Amino acid sequence: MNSWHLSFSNRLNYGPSENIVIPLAVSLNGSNRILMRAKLDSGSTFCIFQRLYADLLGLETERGVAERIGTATGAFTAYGHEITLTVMELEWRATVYFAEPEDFPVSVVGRVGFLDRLKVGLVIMNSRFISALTMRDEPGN
Amino acid sequence: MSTVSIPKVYPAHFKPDFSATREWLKQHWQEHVGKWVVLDGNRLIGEGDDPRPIVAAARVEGVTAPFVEFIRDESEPFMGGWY
Repeated sequence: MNSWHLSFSNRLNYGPSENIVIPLAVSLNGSNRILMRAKLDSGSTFCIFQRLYADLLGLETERGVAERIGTATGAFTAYGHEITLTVMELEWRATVYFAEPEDFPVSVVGRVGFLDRLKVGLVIMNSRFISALTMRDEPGN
Repeated sequence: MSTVSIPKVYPAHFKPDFSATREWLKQHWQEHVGKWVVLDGNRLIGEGDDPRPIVAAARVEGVTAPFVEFIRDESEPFMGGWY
């Protein structure tokens, strides 16, 4: 039987009742820094944040790159801006999208800008929720 | 796709510590459902329908990285699934 092994430099632990949320810091090159959490959504093409975070970063939401985002029940518009993301000991710049609707209920990290920057391992067994992250190009991975 | 992102990841200069905030949220989230909360570690700076004035006041107070979150009712299962 084949087996594969990955090693990770950072690890998050979760209690059994919690969702898989990623704690992250967002900023514009280090200024207007905000701490927040976003659900990990591997089915989402983009990272999509509630638009209030754009306001808190000092961004004008509608001046970003507009995208229509499809969902199972319809579509909405979101605007892309390049910001700095910090997760544990890793940092990168990425375009994330801020939802146009004021009442957008959650923020998520998805494939572009998050999962395409890291290797992510998940263990959701026996009520042990662990997310492990490492740089995509880290030696040994 | 209309946007190309820069792919490089670096060691972080700023290393956020969420441990105190996470404990506060585990203990108190149910008291604040439907509101935005602004925290500095395990200290609740304020809550309300609009966190912007609370964050502005926190920055004046010297809080450089406030934690900001809308508290959802997590008793409802969540489905993302947009693409």
